[in-house]
Amino acid sequence: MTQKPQHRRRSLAASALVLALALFVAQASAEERIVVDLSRYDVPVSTGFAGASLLLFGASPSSDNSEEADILIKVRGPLQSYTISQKKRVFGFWMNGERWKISSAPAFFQILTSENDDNWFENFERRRNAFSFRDLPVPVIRAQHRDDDSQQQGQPQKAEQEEQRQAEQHAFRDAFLRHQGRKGLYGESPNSIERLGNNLFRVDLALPPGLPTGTYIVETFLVEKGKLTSAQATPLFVRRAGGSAFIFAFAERYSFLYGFCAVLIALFAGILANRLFAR
Amino acid sequence: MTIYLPIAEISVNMFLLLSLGLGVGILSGLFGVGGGFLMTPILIFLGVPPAIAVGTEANQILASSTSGFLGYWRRGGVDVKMGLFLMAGGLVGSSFGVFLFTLLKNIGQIDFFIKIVYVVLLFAIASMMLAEALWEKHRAHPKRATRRKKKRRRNWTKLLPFKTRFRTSRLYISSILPLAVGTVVGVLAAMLGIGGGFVMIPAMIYILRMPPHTVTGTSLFQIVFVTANATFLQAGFNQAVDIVLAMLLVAGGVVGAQLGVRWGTRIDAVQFRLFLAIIVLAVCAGLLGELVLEPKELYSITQATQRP
Repeated sequence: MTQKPQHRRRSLAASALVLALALFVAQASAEERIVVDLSRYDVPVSTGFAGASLLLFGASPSSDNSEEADILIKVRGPLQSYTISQKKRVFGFWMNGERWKISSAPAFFQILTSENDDNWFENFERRRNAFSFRDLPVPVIRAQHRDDDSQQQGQPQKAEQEEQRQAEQHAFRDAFLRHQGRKGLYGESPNSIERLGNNLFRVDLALPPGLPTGTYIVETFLVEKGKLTSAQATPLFVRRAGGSAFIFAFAERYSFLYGFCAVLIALFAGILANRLFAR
Repeated sequence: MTIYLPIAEISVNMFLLLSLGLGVGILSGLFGVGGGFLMTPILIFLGVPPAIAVGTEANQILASSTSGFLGYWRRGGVDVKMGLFLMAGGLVGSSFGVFLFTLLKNIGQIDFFIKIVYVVLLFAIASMMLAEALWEKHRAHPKRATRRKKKRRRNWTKLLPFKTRFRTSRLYISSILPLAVGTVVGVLAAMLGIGGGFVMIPAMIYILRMPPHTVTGTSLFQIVFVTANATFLQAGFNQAVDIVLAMLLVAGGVVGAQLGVRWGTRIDAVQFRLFLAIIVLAVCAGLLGELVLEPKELYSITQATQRP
């Protein structure tokens, strides 16, 4: 409820910062082609966290051909490992069948660009820098060992199996990307960076509820004539805050002590309830 | 007002949880059942992961059974010796239950297991309730009010060794019986997030042949220890206990139970039992649907636990 006015105040402060930054940029060295900052470096995820919006703003010093210069912002979350299970029908019931694992993939991945056109960036550069979550190297491997895994190469009749294995791998990979996209963790927002005059820009990044905690990296790239000319990286910290952070950390680190406390609290609650209502 | 549950990792409306506790509390006050068998599936419907629903329910039942136990204790309705035998079995059973639970969780089948066992269990409960309610309706008819013939079965329980005397219940039976009953109920309690009263009380009446005035108090005595053990182990091995969720349910539950007990004398028990049977059947059908209907998304993604 209090988030909106707060946010507005923050936007105002951010705008002031943008102005200050513009003055600063005017004096910046020629090598520093792009500068970006965040409205805050620290996002607390507390008990009531229902998503938030983060303002990114900055300046790209105008060159003669500023029309052709584009900005691309990549926000990447901490690496996580995942398990993907596929449901299959067994005697009419849907139960988990095959499981595949991803040993490490970013928990969050958003791309914001100033340009809508897909072709503005050379495909090669795009791939190499993973400027789309579709190009992310997500290593998906089967969780359970199967015979045909060990003997992939060799006999020609195995080629078919290998093909099938790859198809499965793609299906699991797609399921993962779909899942992350649905939760607002992976995505692309072309043409979302707003230009303010010649060399200032701003963009709002939506942080969904259930945001994974950890250290994020905000990378900003300046692209001129399809070539990367400047880049800058800024960290962003997403951390659990308040009571829920404490409970979660406690339950994870000292799980048996947590269990013991849970028993004591429940016993106390039971005694209290009995005292309150017994006459 | 939404609240973020730290272990279940979902945001839920706080008043929804409080009124859920209240509603199930009223039912348990009315019928003298713990309500775990209703609460666990409802939590699953709300989006709480089944494993966490089970672990958290053990914690909630610990609180509600403690409160109930104290009431029976004051009235002398607890056979401590019998309770200790049941408890010994219960501790073994619930530890084994958590072990099995962890095993199933590690091979990725715990959610399926919980759902399918609940479908069977809820169907059995609902049909028993329906049969009982219909039977009572049938008997209430004045013309048909006849004495039920008491069947004299050959009592196999008398043949078992290690006989022990239970003074409070005026029984002289084999100690294997309460140990076995306690163990079975302990396994169920740890794996399904129930107290197990609805299994144990019939077993105490029909197998142990305990007198009615000690049955409920003694079963609560055992449930306190079994759910304490289940809570401790579920939290320790599976990180499956959400204390915030449990306490919200307890807060609604204790108030509801009081209301239920008070209203219990004023309502038509038969009608209400029919009503409860229909609720249980509906929950059962819902779970069955989740198992049988083709899910919209065939793939599910779980994240390895995050190290803060």
